Amino acid sequence: MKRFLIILFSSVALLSLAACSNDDDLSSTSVIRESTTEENDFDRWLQRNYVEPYNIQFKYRFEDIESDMSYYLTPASYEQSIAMSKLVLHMCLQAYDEITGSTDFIKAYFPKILYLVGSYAYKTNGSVVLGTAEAGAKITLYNVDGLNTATVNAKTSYFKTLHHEFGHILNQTKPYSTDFAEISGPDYVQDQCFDVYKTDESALKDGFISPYASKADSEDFVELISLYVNRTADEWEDMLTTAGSSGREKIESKFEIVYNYMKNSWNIDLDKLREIVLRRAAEAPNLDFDSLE
Amino acid sequence: MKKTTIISFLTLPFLLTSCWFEEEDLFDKSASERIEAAKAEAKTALESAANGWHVRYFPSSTQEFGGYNVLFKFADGQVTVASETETNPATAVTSLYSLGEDLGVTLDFDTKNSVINYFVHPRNPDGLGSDYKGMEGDYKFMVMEASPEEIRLRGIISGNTYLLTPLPADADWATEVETYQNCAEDMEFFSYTCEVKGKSYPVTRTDRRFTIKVDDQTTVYAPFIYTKTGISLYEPITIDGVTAQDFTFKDEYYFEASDGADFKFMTPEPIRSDITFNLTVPEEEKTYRSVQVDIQPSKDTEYYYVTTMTRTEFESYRTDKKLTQALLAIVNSNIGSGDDPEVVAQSQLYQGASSYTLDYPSFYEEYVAIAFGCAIADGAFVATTDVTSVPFSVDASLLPAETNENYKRWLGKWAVTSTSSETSGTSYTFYITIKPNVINSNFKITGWGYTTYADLVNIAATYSGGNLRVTGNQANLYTTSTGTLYLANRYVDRNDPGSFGIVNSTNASNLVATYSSEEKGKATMVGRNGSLTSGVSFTITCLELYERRTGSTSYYYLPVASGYTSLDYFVGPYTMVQLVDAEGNELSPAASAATKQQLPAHPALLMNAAAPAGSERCEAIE
Repeated sequence: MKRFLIILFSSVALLSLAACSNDDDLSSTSVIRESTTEENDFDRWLQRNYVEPYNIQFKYRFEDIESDMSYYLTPASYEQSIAMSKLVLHMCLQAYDEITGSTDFIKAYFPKILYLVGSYAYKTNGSVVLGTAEAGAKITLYNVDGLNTATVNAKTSYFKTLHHEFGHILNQTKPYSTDFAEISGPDYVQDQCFDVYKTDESALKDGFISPYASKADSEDFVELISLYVNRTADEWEDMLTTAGSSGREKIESKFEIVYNYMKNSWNIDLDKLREIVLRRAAEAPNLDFDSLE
Repeated sequence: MKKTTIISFLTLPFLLTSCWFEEEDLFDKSASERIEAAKAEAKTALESAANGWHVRYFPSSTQEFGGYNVLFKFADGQVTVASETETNPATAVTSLYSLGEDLGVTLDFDTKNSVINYFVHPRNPDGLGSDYKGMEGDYKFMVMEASPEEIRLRGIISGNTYLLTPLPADADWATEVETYQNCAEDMEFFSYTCEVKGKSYPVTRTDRRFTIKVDDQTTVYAPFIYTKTGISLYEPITIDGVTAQDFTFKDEYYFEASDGADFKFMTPEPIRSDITFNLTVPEEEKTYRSVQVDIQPSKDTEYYYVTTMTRTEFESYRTDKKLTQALLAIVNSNIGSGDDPEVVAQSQLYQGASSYTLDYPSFYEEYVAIAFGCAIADGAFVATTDVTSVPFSVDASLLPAETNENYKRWLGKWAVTSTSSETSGTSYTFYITIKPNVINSNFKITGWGYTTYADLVNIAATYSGGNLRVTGNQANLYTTSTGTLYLANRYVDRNDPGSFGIVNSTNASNLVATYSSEEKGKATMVGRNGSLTSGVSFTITCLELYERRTGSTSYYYLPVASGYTSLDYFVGPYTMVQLVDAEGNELSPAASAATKQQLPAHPALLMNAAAPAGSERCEAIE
């Protein structure tokens, strides 16, 4: 009796197995498909200069899914996108390569997607968005239509935005000392930053390197990085002079923390980075913006 | 044994469920293969139109701006776009496109295309829509249907249907676009009504959308696009049970349902007249400084309009309708509220046989005399006929024998270049034509100064001792809708070189041009020194046109021609280079080419030129 049952069960088991085992052949055709979009010279150039060295996707073609749907936006131009890709490489990514000695730093920490938009993002109140960063994964650059390669310099907004957003990612990876937040602690005004500080001068006098720096200590920190590397020592000193004695004191003590953080956590000397960024920015207008070799 | 049976029966369902119901694939290909196939199909259809597609482009989910005629051509992953919204009909811009997938195949214009940007940019260049949404047009579409005969797209942003039909292989893009631009111009009116089954409904038009008031509760919106034969609504509309979508333009003033339905859009019926004109420019009446045009109408009872203009300007109007509208707009702007148009007609129009005189014609232009019938409708003048025209010209052979050579050598076209300017220190050049007035005694000059009125005004100059002399304080040079034009003297305080102003002075020698003793066709023009009643020592720097208004002592600023900056007045002395002599010989060909179309030549073209706000006073008296 017992044996019979066992036989019966095992036959059931065998039958069941036999009946369906050949159903599950994986299709030899992948469901992941090659895009039907034709690859052009720029796509191939990006593969060699962004994907291979840095694993960064430089998305110049407009995609709803990458766009902020709360704005009305337009695609970036093909020619302007090529120019932008060369400028970002020369003025930002390679500046870090140069100071760290390899492409590994950018490859490890820089956001994996750079997304371009032709127009500004206009808010309903008429103000404009220059750039945004999302969760350390993507930076969007707006107003690519407005790029003028002949007049590009270290302070051109797109590149300042990149240093700013990259600063956030570094902070998120290795936090900075809590001492920093205490210096301007009660003075941060959150979203009122542009209402409270209508001019750079008024922000400087209160110890903020820019109006946006008054938003929160995390913004203050990366504003100090991005504005420092884009200015000569004289220009920086002019800002501190404008700040007056109390503003200067706050900015200088905050900057000391920023400088030491970059030095100790990342082994990046901001003075040296500044030198590299300024030199590369001066070279930028003379880059070859046509070749896709 | 019984137990065993039961158990074995219990197992049976397991056996059955495991394999008896085999799932059949509904499609013979996987979902991903199918979407790929659909994309390939869409691509083939899009690229099948070798000369591209005509597109009915309706931006905005409410179609509030109506529709625009746009052309698309797809090839090799690129799309070329042209549109009636471009100033130059030959503009066609190429950018990239790709096919993506959403709930179906999508067509994405994914790099910048400046033509499409007109509809999708958050700030439309003509200010249509809001300043953060623009016209809310589409650059991404769902492909609803695609065949070589017709493609239907649905805009992702607007949800609107875009209908694409192939262009004939031999259609020229620029001609197509220009045709649509002309259709839009020719079929646009200011007031409309809608007529269905003999009943009339009030209609207003904003951009390309009709708003039809059916009754107190019902308003029907009808966005439309101009076609080559009339207008076509975005979708059919129904009023009082009658449905219509496509309309044919009839008799130059109404649109009738193309399928014969009892549905019309009416505009005011034009008044037509069979009056004809016999225009002549008798040789015996022609002199070096005036031309008489004689007009003999076929009827004495109707008003008509007469003028002369350069052939270039005459030909710049594409149709008689454009020309008559532009000219009558000036006359109509003189009808104030409460004015009797009949009274205005008496002073500005003609009736019966008459003659018209053009004073100081240029030897270097071809002219056209024109006439057309006019009538009063709804308190304004409208044209009742086409334009009758006759060409004429004058030249130096009409100069009297006693014309002295030193007087004659001033006649012609000159480039006049300032040393500096008041605010920017720029050396500016302006172009004048010096024309004969009283032989061996004085001249008339057109093209003087930096305003858009320069070519409309003949200023006086005198001839004395071989020199040409000009002075300010010349009044009533031209009548505008708000005042009259005046040529004023500007001066600089010699002891304070940054201090400029207007001086009231009638001295005949405020600016004196001296013909070069060494070189033919060269001269210098220098401002006079003097002193004001206030004791200030001044030098005349320039003479410029202003508007004077009744009851005001101010000098109002006029619109400035392109290439000059408002209030950046010229500062002398000036060098003068002759470009064309009295006989019409070009002395300096390269420079004379530069004189072409510096300034608009007829008041009709000035209608939209805005003057800078403001005026100044003349405080300085000599």
